[in-house]
Amino acid sequence: MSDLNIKIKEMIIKALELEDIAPADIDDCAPLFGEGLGLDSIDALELVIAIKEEFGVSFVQNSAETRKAFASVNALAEYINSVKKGENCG
Amino acid sequence: MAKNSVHWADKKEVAVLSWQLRFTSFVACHFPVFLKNTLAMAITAFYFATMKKEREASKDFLKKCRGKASLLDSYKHFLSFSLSLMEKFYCWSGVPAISQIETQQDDMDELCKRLEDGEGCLMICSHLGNIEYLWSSAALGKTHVKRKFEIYPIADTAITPKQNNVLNRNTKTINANSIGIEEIALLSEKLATGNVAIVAGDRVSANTRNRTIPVEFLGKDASFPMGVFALACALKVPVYFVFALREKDLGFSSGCKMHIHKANCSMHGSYLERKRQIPNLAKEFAKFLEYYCLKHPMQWYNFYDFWA
Repeated sequence: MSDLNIKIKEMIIKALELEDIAPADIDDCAPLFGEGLGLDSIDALELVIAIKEEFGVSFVQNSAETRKAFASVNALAEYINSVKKGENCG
Repeated sequence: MAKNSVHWADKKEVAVLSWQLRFTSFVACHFPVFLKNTLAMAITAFYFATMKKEREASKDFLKKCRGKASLLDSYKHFLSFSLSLMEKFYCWSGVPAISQIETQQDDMDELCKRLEDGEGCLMICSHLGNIEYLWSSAALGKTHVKRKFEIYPIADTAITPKQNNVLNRNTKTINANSIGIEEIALLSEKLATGNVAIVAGDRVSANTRNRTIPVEFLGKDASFPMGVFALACALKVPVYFVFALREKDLGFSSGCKMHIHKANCSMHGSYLERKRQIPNLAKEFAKFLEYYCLKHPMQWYNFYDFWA
């Protein structure tokens, strides 16, 4: 598990106040919404804002890409990495 | 929803042809008041005769407000709607002065102070009355606030582009049908820097019809759009309920009364607290909407079965 994945999980737990869940309880590949972690659309809105605050990453791309980014913790990590990398390159 | 009823979002707008809109625009801006009223009466008669479903919706609504409704009452209801369309054009022509919007001793001062301090908010409006008075004057920079701010309307853009074009609305509408993560991020940023988002709290959009909050409204549970109230929770900004009501229900008048009420439900707490407030916020909005509906039932412009 990468550091970023752990950070993302901690952020999800903190932002959504998921009291009974520890970072280790969240599967890296499991869907965040519906089955899996069971988040709803209201949680999604909260997460977007938390991600921006925590990682400085916005979702201004087309919505298909955004939807892909929110598929799982792994997908989110990948998205955040790719945005950061793009920024570093110029 | 009843089997045969059509969701409002699936209906086509009546006056969608450009020439119809342009003609209305010309009438609204250049005709004297008595001619506007006469023309509105004649055009209304035509639509009134042909739109059975809407007639029934009007009757049902007026009955809920007043206990009874005659055919004439429904005609007046339709007429009031025609006048509101003309008023739209009048508003966006830039003619109305800010003095034509009569403010009340409500939360108006608080709102102005907030905006002057550079803090944003979410406004929840409705299809009661003519919110375009407020929207156009804010968009055209005619406000009581000594600082420029932008207004971000959230609406069904399948309908609005043509209207935007003809009305010369200079605002960029955020599509309520596809409001997603990017739009939330944008709004969050804009509201943090002292701008305003405005959204109607009394319409369930086409792709969110399964996400609604049942709230008692005029004696019966109606579906209110969850997304609107969830937006307030996500944006963590104060919410103001706004109403712009024409003084005369049945005559083209050049002015309106603006009512501003700050929501009691606070969207400042922890996430779970805010999330719990979502249905309460919807209830609070419905109460105000009901209050003003009972005062001005003729200015209710949701011509479909609101309780379906």
